[in-house]
Amino acid sequence: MHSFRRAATALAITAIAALALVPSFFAGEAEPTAMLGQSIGDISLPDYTGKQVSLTDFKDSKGVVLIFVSTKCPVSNAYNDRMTALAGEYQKKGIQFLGINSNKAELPEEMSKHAVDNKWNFPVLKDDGNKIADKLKASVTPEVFLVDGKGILRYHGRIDDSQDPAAIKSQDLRNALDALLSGGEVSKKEAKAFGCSIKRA
Amino acid sequence: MKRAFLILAAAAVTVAAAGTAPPGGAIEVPAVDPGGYARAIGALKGRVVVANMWATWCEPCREEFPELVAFEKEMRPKGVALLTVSLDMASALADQVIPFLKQQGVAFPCYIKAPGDDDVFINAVDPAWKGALPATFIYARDGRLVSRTDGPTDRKRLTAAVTPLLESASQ
Repeated sequence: MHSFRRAATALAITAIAALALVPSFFAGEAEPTAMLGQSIGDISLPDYTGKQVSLTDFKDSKGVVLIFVSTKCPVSNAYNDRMTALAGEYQKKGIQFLGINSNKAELPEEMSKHAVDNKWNFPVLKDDGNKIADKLKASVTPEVFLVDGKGILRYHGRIDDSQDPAAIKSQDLRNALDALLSGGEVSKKEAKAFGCSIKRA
Repeated sequence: MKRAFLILAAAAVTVAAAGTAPPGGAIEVPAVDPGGYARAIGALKGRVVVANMWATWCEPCREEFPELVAFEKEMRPKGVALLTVSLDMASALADQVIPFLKQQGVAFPCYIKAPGDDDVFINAVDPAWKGALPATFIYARDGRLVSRTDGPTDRKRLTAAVTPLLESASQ
């Protein structure tokens, strides 16, 4: 009896030790990656000048594009011109663009210089402690969350399907924006692409 | 660009030959689509497989790579197989991917993702993966995907992760 109990205890300890050694995630099963079709709630973060910016500031807009960005990630930087072009085009149509930087090592001074150097035409907010990245389960840069005028998440994922602008076949964010503005359903609600992992605190 | 495409195209037909370069010889980095990746993992059945996804543009990936090389050297005799897949664009193969792999002295199969939709490839590898790099996947001896690490890993953590799989399979 005692040897059985000892064996059971040893087995339990081994199982706990084995679990502790498994890195990060059990893989293979999709977890809900985003709150598609649900309200993402309010988001309030300071921009790189310290001014607080909230989703509710844009309650009269037709939608808001949140893009997790990085100053250093080559993939995010490959999209600088495309983000500016899309923001320029769709902000005229009532869609607000907001950049969010959740990388712990990318500080407001660096974000400010990067935004100016790249002529970004939308605010960039600092997500200290990656609270918003955690809330939205954002993982990479660039990663987009498009919410409609009621704050409902309508599209999540990539901007398009190629880092090389000449090779784009699927304009996923543009398609989602056009569907939203026309009052239709976004047909492709989620699409992934390779990117830099967000460096969390 | 044209040269890189030709190398990639030639490599795509020799998936089974992926891997080490003969001393001083040219390194082969075949292109894999989702099916090719599954076949590459399947071909290593019987070993615990560690598959690392990386890119030359990913600094943490480049920093992590020497750890992978050292891990593979130490664990190969114990029944572990390592393979890597570069997520660079095909145009980077000749000028960036191959020189980096040569510099690292790789002695294990190295692939590059074939042109095609990232979304399809990511979901085929692991539907729960978001595409953040680096990412490392561990497969049991029966080819079953067991775990994924998002972000850089190292020899110590990899050894800790594969050891129970090596032990349980040998019992």
